[in-house]
Amino acid sequence: MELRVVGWRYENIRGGIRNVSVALDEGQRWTLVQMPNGTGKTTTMTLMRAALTGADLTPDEVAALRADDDAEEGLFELRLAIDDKPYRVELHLDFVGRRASYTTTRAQLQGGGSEEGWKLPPLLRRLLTPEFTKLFVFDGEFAKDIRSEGKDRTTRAIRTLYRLDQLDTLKSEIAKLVTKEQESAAALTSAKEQKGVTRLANVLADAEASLAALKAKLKSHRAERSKLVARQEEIGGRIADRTAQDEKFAARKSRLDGELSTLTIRIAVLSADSLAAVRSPAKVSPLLLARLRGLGQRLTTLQLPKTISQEFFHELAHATHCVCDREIGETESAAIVAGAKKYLAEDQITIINRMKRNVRESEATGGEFADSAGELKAKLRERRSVYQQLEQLQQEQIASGDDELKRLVLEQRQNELRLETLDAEISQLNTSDKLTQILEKLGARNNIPLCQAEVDLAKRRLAAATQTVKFTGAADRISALIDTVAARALDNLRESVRVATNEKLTRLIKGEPLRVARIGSSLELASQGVASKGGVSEGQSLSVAYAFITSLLGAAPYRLPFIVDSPAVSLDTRVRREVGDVIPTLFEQMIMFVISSEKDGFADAFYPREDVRYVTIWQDQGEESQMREGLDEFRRFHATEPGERAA
Amino acid sequence: MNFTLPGKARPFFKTVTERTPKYLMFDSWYLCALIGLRERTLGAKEELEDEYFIDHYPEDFKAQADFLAGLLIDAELDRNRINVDDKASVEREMILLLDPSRTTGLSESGVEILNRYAVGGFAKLEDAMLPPANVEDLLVKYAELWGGQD
Repeated sequence: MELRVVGWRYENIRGGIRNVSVALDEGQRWTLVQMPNGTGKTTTMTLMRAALTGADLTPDEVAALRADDDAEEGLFELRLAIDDKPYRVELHLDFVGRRASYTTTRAQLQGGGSEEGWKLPPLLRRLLTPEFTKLFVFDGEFAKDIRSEGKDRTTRAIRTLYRLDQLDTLKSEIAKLVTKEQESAAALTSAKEQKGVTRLANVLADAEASLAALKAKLKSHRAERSKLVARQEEIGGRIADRTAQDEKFAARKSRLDGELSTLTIRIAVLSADSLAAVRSPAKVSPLLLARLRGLGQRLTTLQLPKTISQEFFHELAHATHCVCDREIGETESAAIVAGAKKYLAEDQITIINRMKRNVRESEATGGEFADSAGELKAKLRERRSVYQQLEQLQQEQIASGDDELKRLVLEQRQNELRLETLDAEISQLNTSDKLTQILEKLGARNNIPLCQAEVDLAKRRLAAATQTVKFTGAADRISALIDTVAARALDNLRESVRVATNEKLTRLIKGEPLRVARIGSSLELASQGVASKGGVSEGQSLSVAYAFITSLLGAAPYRLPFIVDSPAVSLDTRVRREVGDVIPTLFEQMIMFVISSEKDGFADAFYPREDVRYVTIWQDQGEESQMREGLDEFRRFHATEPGERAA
Repeated sequence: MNFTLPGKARPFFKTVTERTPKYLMFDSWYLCALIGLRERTLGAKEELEDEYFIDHYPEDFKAQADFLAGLLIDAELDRNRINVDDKASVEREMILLLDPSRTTGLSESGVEILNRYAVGGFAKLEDAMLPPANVEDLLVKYAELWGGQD
């Protein structure tokens, strides 16, 4: 991404900069702006930084920019080209209200209008922090700060410029994903570490073992039951055989079996009849029949249902005239509709009429169920009697010395008891009826559906925990990898900037063994001579700063201008020339604010160069600032005093 | 609301339901409701199961729909002490309990009240008999509840 300054304009700014406009739209690489001290160089640098960062200005800062007491409003306009697209940032100054605001105009805007606020492209917005902007809208203080321990400006500059900060953003996003994953799993499990997963795996293993044991028990019970049922049939057959072999008992047995068979058939018929009868309320009891008939008669007496239904009134409400020929207006219509609710609807009338007819025409006596159930009760009693006689017969046969029969009967009874127990246990193991589970106090240890539910839940919990722990582990590994990448990238960048800085220092400060030993939280210099000479001079310090900044910006993914105020004022003539020779080649665009005394050795190094724009801004005594362009004006201004120049 | 069993009815009739194919879940509800209608005893709505078991009359009961509606109207007139000679009050009660647009012919409110009669009836049933072992025992005991069977 490339950022260029295309021009700027002042209105009513302190230093007499009222209506000055500097245009750099011819695209020269270097611009030398000659402004005597006190005419607004520092103000211009401040305003440029503000326009580039969208900084909020305090009321005092706004007031300090006021040209004079008559000026109510002021403006600083900075024109930019960002990847060759024009942008204009305007800083509006309300001196009366002591407020500042921005508008931004850009080519993409519909109709080319401006919008409120500072709206540079997002990628630049992240880069152009107040601190970083001081690097290329150069703040002389920076030359000192980069060598001050604890301020960490060098490392921060590298991190910002080479977008290492984005790795922190990536880590932050990963942390958010981990939190989200843990929150979504929290409903099932709180396990976030491996020991939690192990605990849940043990719970699942226990539940699965219980389920397997219960299923094995059910299988075993069912197998035992099948064997017992088969054995009971066999015993029944053998008992029948023994009775049949004994003539004394065979005839009686045959007669009782016949009675039993007849009774069983009759009981089945009566059971079906009773069930059919009980399903009809009119056949259950004379009481119910009487109530139904009583209701029917009462409705008849009351002349219910009425012959007039709700529908009649709804139709009437929409008619223009009543049956009595009165007109029906809105009020009458509403009253009729409201009143219709008191009447049964047509189909409700049908139900009631049908009920009345059914009751009236029913041939039920109300005693059908009682009769059928009474006979059923008698036949059940008879069947019990036949069972008792059969048992009596069996006892007599045993008493007559049939030990084999005795043994068979005993086994049969024991098997019956065992079958009852097995059926109850099978039912307990198998039932999925929730109420039965509650009433019989069943749980995962004795009921297969509940145990299966526990296994399923444990599986879901384990899966959630495993997924969470796996996710968290992967996130930790990625975060650690990002840290490693960031650290190595920073080391490599620092080293490459250090090497490039030293190469430039070799050219800038010839003969001085002044070199950068390490870029840590500050620039650490390594020079044997530095200590013996009692420290680094201001010129050397500035040279180190230039060498560092040009190296830093030189290889960055952003192409930025370099704007500097009084770049050579503290340098001796020899270093000035070196700076004037070396630095200009390092930037695609340089804007240098100079004073007259910097021409010797620095500005004059540009005179032979092509692609240079010269601007001279001065202020006549008590008047507004003037501006001229061109090398001749620039050089001539050097020879005269500002006050005299205006004349 | 659709037909809903009293909370404790399902296990009470469990054996009969499991062993007798021709015996319906609706039979259990109906036997309870009929006793409740006879006694005019409403149970609490909270004592019903959470979910209904059927939303219409089974085939074997369709012909009895009008009789059940009649018994419900009769019970409600009595329970609410409505003057049975007051035509408007009787008609109002019928409008409340009937809804011909529903397959049962009963309104939402009508079915809910019937369900509550089933709760009241089950309490009587539970007092009078143990959970029946088979349908024959159930029918004989149930007949005894209606008197004159001994």
